[in-house]
Amino acid sequence: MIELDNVSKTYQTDKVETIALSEVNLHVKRAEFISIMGPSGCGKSTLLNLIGLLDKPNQGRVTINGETLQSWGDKDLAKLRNRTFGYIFQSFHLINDLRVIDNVELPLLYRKTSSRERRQLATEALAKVGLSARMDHYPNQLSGGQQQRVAIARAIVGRPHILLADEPTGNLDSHMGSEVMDILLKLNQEGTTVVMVTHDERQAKQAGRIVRVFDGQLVA
Amino acid sequence: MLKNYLRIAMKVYWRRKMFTAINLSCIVLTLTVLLVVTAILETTLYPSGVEHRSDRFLHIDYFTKYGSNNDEWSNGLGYKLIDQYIRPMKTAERVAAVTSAHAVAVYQNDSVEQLSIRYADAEYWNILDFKILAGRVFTLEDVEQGHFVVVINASTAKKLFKDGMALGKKINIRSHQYEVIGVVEDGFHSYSSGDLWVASSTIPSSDYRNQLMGDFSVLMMAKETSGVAAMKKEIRDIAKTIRQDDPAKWHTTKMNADSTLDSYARGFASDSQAEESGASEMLMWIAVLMFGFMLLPALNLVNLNIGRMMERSSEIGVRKAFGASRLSLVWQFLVENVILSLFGCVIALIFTQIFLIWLCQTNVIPHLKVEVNSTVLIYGIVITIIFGLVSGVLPAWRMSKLDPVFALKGNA
Repeated sequence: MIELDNVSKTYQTDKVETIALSEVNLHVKRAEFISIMGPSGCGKSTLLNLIGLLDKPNQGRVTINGETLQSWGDKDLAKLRNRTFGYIFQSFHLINDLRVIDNVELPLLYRKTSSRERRQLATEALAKVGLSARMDHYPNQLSGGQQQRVAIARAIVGRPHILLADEPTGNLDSHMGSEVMDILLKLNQEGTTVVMVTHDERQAKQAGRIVRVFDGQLVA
Repeated sequence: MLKNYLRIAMKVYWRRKMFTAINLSCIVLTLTVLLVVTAILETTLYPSGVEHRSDRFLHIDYFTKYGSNNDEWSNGLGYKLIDQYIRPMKTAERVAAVTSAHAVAVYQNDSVEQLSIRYADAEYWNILDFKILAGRVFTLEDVEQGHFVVVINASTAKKLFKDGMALGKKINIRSHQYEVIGVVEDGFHSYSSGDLWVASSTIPSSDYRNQLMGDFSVLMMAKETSGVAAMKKEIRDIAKTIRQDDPAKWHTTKMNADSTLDSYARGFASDSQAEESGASEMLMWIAVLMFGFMLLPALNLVNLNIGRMMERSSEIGVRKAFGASRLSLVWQFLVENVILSLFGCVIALIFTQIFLIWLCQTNVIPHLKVEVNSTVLIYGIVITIIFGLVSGVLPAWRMSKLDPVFALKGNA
């Protein structure tokens, strides 16, 4: 499903070149749940961004569902992101000016979906994360855990094949963190591939596989 | 999708009240100036009211005769030229002769009023559509019989007769007593302006009947708008047949029947008797000037908009992550900008109408009637959308190019 072949990513500032990832090879199978672990600044998020097509490698090849992404245009990338991936961020990244239901509908705006269908899918997604009663609230009226559940609803509303979660419980207390993990595990059991970056060893162990990153390289 | 964009636009504008106020002021000021100019240009170049049939009437104000040694002489039309050459034309339904408005002193109730007078024939009243407030206008019979009758406008009726009852009263004009037979509404356009109208046959000397050059203009009306081009052509052909009083000296005559727009455009043309008046070039230059005027505030708004959008880099990142293409983001920000501009347009239209009412009341241009009509409204919306696009497209394009990873970090 996801293949990274010899992928490297460097960031160039004025005078310094920072190697974020170096010659990484990774294969993620369909319906797999993997955790990416490692110390801060080791390249975990960069790895996730490359998998999620939010960033481009300087070297190597990223293959998603058998399609190698080289010289893909903006429109094609946007379509692939929309259809294939659901993103969950540590700091939720909800749009505070929009109601919960509108936030959840967001990925569907970029598809040919009628407003009625959008509303129905968003309502279903919110029901899955147990937030049906909060659809007309604004994000800043919700707790951190609830906001992350809204973010999960937004990530799954378009029924993506792959969920990418960047420290999804990082800003939550342990109870709320467990709730979020339970949702991710359930989604994985239903057939969604999950790639999660985490610092939490206990949560990482709940995944089927742990990938460890150190100094921009995968370690056993 | 549009509903989503509208909702977020409203929220953002409401949240940033100061920014919105500055942005709106800039839009309103620019659009008000442009709309006032548009309204005045529209009423000048495409007259309505008394001259509302201007889409099917043309006028000739002067002809030019050409002699040897590159001699050239332009003059107003004489009655003989109109009678002999223009009245028989085939493509016009009606042909009228009218002089320009001359200043005249009118003695009434032991006081002198400086007014303007026109000599006209009966067809003049059939081409222009004056609202008759009282009595009647003069007829073919009045003209043929040389009746000393006068039609006055509403302002003159009030000025000369304190009770406003003018019908049947006498006015002393150039040592003749004229009887007021009608009162018409005030007009301010090229051919409808004037305070007094009398029959051309009451011109003190009958010499005018034998002159090719004179002080007359011709108004001619086609049956339908589609007949205007044929009238233009026929007039150019007629000009070739005009035999000047001194044909040995003046071998060629040219004249053009123009619409109001054409006649203004001809004022800027190097060859005043060219077949093409240059109207399209003039309109193009007006559009360029208006666009130039719009550009400066629009460029200022570009900076403001970039600042506003930078605050939303996280939103841009999220939208990109969930499938927004560069184009859809540009579209979103443009929609937001055009919405604000359209809101500014509504305020600007109100300000424009207030300004125009004030302008009409000041009497800087006598009897001026100009307002925000449907045409100005359409122009206003078009100008607003252009303004919204010009001031929004650059920031929108710049923000849409943001790398999603950097945008999500708020590093715009």
